[in-house]
Amino acid sequence: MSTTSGHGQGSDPSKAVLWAESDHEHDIISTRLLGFWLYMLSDSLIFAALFTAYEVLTYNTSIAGGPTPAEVASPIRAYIETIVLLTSVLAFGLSMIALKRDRPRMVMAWMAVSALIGIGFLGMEWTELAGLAARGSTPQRSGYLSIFFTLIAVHGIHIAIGLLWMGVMLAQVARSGLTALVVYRMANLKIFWLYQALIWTFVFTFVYLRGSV
Amino acid sequence: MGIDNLKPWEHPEIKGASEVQYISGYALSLALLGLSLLLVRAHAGTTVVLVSLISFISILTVIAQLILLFHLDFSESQRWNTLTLMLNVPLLILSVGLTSFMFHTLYTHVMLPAMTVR
Repeated sequence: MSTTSGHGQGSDPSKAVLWAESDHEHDIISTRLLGFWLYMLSDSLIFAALFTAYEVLTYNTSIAGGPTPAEVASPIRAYIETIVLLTSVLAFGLSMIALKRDRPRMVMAWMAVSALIGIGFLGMEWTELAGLAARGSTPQRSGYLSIFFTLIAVHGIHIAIGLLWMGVMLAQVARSGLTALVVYRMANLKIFWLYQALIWTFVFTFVYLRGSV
Repeated sequence: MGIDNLKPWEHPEIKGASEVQYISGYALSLALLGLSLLLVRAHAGTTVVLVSLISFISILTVIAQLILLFHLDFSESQRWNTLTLMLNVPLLILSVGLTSFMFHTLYTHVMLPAMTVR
């Protein structure tokens, strides 16, 4: 963030400089990152709404004689998915380390590793939902299954968008190198990708583990 | 830090990246969530105790991720991100908590009692 100083003006408020007259100190990367961070916080309200709906749709009335959370959500499988997603996050972190060291090829290599592992995670989410549907546990079966499918699918859509974004950034790093625009987009993507692991922590705990308690 | 800086990777947001923090964030997250899994698999405690424990562990995991992976702190480059998150969290707790409470009360008073027991 840009800083405006009145610190050198002593304690006399009538002489304090409250803001800079020009924007030459303006830090464009920090400002854009804060804007994207605020967007991600608003995205967290979507997940808050979904987790709330999940909570109120796990009563017996919403299970409606269909499969229970313990039968639908496997904690072991979910923990394997957790390992896969966090490994993808770690690989993206190593890509950011390469970015810090100004090594564009390593940035691309680690981001590609992160994307490949992310595709694996998305595949696991897809096969889980497809397997449930194949056994007749479709979203239309009960209110509980509706919110289970919705929550996992919304998370999966976020993952898919992140993967698409990684593809775009791979092309941009290859084409333009580590320009200011590319670097701040990478920093935004880091926030986006790490945020998916953050949300997954709650999905794992309150959907998969909670269902087996 | 000016707009004409020729080395964008030297921005504090990028320079804050650290292998040690990424690897410890990864290991700590997996260890904490693995602990939750073990507690649930072992049925270690009553429902209330178990739900409280895994909820507490999930919050610990998220805090670990925010510090070690997102590098949130009160430094000049991060303080606004940290503050906006701190202001956002009460909104999330209120929206999830109050709605859950309302529906729990609604089910208890309106629906057939036998249908509402989980």
